[in-house]
Amino acid sequence: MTLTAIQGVRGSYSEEATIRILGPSADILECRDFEETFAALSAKKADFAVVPVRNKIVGEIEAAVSLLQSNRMKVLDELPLRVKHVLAGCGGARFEDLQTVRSHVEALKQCRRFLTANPQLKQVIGADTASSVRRIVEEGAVANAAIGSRRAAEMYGATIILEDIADDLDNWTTFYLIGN
Amino acid sequence: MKLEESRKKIDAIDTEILILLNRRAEISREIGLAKASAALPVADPRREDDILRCVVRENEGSIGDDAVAEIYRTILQESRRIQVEVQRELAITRQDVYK
Repeated sequence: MTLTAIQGVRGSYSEEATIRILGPSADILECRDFEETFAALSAKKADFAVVPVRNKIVGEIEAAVSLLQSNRMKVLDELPLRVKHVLAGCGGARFEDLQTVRSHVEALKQCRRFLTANPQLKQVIGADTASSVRRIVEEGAVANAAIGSRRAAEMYGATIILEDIADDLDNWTTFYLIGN
Repeated sequence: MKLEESRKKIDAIDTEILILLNRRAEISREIGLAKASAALPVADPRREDDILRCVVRENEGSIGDDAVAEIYRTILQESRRIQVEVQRELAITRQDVYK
């Protein structure tokens, strides 16, 4: 059984990239951050890792790229993935109820125009997009929303309040499949 | 002697509470499955507000209303966690998500 480390939890864009590269039966090791993802690969707890390296809106994903360079790992494959961010909330939540929006820092950056136009939404940095969606559902407050994928919203039982909230609707992130 | 008897009664009640909480959790899991198949959201804050109001209204015992509400908030939080896990398990087993 081969195991692939990703930064974040199931429902993240990294999971989607993994499934697109390795197929739907790929076994996933969920890691808290990029450091843990690379450490899992170095320690051979995982056979591969899938990490985002570039995004069309924000450019290089510095945290991942610097670890990739310092760990000298092999890039085995590359995948450009269409990224469509939704604003997810709890059941019955209306946009006017919202006070906070949680997501991965890179996803928040990709939605800068939307967040600037809605300064009433306090930004909260979460570990990754999918766990941010999961967290706001588990908190169960109508005031809290998260930015993530449609898959994450469906996976964790959130309601989609708004779709396509990134600055550029043609938003892409490039992922690398890496190995030792 | 009296203290020991009272403690035995408390232990028996705690066991009953635990059985009931787990029974409630199982039903919550069933609701999670029903929500997943109907594509309904897990968290339903308005329904939860109704439950909290109802249990506080029905509380006529020694426990304070704030304590009842706090206990129920914890129960409801655990229900959400269970239902999120149900949705997640179902989503992971779906093979066609990214076709």
